[in-house]
Parts: sequence; C-alpha cells; structure tokens
Amino acid sequence: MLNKLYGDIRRNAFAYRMLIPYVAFLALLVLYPIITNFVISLQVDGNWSLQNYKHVFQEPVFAKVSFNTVIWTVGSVVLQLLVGFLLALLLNQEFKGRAFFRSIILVLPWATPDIVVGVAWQWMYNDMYGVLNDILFRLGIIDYYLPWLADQNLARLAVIIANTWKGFALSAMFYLAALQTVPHELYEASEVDGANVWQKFRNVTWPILQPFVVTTTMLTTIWTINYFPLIFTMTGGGPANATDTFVTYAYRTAFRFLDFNRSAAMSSFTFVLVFLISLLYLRVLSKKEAERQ
Amino acid sequence: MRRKPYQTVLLYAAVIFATVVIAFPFVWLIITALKPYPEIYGFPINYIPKEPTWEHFEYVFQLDFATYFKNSVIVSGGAAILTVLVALLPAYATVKFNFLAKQPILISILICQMFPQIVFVIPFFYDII
Repeated sequence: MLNKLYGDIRRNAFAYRMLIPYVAFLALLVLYPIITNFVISLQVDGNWSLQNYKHVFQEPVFAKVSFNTVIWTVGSVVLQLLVGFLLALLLNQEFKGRAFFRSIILVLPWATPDIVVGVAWQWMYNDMYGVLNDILFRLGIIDYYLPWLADQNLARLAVIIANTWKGFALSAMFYLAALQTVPHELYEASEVDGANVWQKFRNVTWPILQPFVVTTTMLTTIWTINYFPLIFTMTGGGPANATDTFVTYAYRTAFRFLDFNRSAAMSSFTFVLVFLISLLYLRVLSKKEAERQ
Repeated sequence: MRRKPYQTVLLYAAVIFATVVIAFPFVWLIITALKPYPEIYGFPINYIPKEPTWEHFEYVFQLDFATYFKNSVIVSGGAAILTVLVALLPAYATVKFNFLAKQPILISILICQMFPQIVFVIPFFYDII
C-alpha cells in the first residue's frame, strides 16, 4: 500500500507538488481549528469528559431546536429547488431581453450580502410599518396585520421565505447550466416523433437534469443547515426559540453564555449530522451513476 | 419551435412577474433609504417617497466610512487573491493528471463545505492549553 503510494508520488511528482499549498492551507485553516474544536468539546474544566455532549442533548430546548432545524432545512431546500427549477426553465426559453431578466433574477438576490438581506426582510416583515402586511391587506389576502416575526409559526415561515429569496438563485444557476447541456437535436427528434411539451420534459430534459438535481439538493441542504447570518439578524433565534437552529444555538451558547465547550459540542454534533446526510446523497448519486452504465 | 402569439404573451407575463417579485425587496431597500424618518414610520405606507432625502446616506458617510471601506477591500480582496492562488494549482493537477490522491482531494472539497462556520471561530477565542 505504502509502496504503491510512493511509486505514485514518484511517477506524478509534478501533480503532487501542485497540491502542497492546498494541503498546507487545509491543515492550517481547516484541520487545526476542527481538531481544536473537537478537543474543546471534550473538556470540562481541563479534564476529559463527555459532559458537554450530555448537557447539549439533555437541554430542554434541544427537541425544539432539532425540530426547527428540520423545518428550516426541509422548507428552505424544497422551496429553493422548486423556485430555482421553475425559473431556470423559464429563463432557458429564448426571448428578447433575456440577458437583462437573467441578470436581475439570478444575480440580485444572490449578490445582496446576508446581513443586508436579513435587515431588509426584517423591515418588510414589521407588523406595523412593514410593506408585506400592507400589500397582503390591500390584496385582501389578510384581514388584519400579522405579527410576522412575533408568532412562532409565522416566524418560521418568514425566515424560510427570506432564505428562499436569498438562495434560489444558486440552484437556478446550476439548473440553467444543466439545461444548456441538453442537445437541441434531441428536442427536434422528439418533436418529429410527435411528443408534447410534457413528454419532451419527461423523456428528454429530466433524465439529463436528474444528477444535477441530486448534487444541487445535497449542496443546498449542507449550506442551509449551516446557514446562520439570516436567522440571526432577522429573529436572533426567537420568538421563544421558534427559529433557533443548531448553529444559532451554538453561536448563542458561545458568545452570549460564554460556554465555549458546550458550543463546540453542539457544532461537532452538527458537522457529524451534515456528514451523514451527505453520505446518503452520495449513495443515491453513485447508485444513479451505476444504473446509467 | 415557433411560439404562438398567446404563448409569447404568457412567457413575458411570467418573466416580468418573477422579476418584479424578486427585485421588490431590493427596490424597497432603496426606497426606504430615501425616505425621511416620519415617512419610514408613517401610516399608511408611501410607496414613492414624498420628500426624498439623502440624509441617511450623508449620515453613513459621516461615520468612519473610509476605514470600513478600506477594511472590506482588504479582507475580500485578500481572501479572493489567496483563494485563487491556492485553488488554481490543485484544480489543474486534478484535471490534467491521474494519480492516487485525486479522489481524496476532490472529496476534501466537499467535506470543507460541511462545517458550520462557528467551528472555525471558537478556537480563536479559546486557549486549549
């Protein structure tokens, strides 16, 4: 094994030399903090112990935080993928001014900084002076102004909507790139065969898009679970922990309650969770790949 | 594939609707920035500022704007340049060569996406020894 690796290094010495800066940075900026974080999570007053993990899991709000994380992740991912997918299909059509509409729809939300998005939406959701209540009231959808960020379920919905606005552009871009790899001849051939719009989508577009959908779902899931600034600026985890996810909880434990050990335990747990979810997606992906061949 | 006229109208309606909805939060940000305080906290809401003002922008520039701007440029520019420098070489290596460490390197990119950012923050504030 080691011999094989040694031979490989000698044969591809140039390639391995190119990896040196990357591996060095990885060790310094990723590996070192992660190991430190893990060690911190295993210590109580300088002694080795699993107390921190036990504390985190026995926390009364742990069940609620887990529930919030699931709702936040599933809601954001489903909405982002759906909106991104529909807009990618729309923006893949040929029409005049496409470049203009593409740049507004795909770039504007994505390029707006996280904190700015949080503050802007927080203001739009304001129950007295927020523009959202005003619009919905004028359209006759609501009969009275809703306290968007003060009601538990509404607050959950509110952060998910804001996150969808912020995040759909990325999946839309992935899908758009994928749609452009579909060869034109396939559409023409299926038209000659008399396929309707749905059949063309089902039998030409979808099979090519599918692996992209799995990859995009995986990346969006990972990013959403770990996404922190939006919730923190909009609600700070409130009301009554209704929008607290694993990461906002870990942040508050560290920087408000100054319990770094417990916060480290929480973030290590989050990483393991994300890792397991990614493994699941990768299995689906490799199974799909195997079917294809 | 030729479109029928009603299909073109539908397409444009959908695109313009999507654009308006998506641009709205950003447009609202700008509109609010141009309103004086009584209008921001006014009822009913004005969709077009009655007395547009630059006072908020003036306030921002009165703060230590130059320093903040300089810091942003240094941090983002430095991060961008370093990222490109570090990422360029392994990108070339993994595309052009076939070697044993190729797959682990590619997987390491995915794994780096999985850490909550707070993992990297805590070790700065905490002395292990």
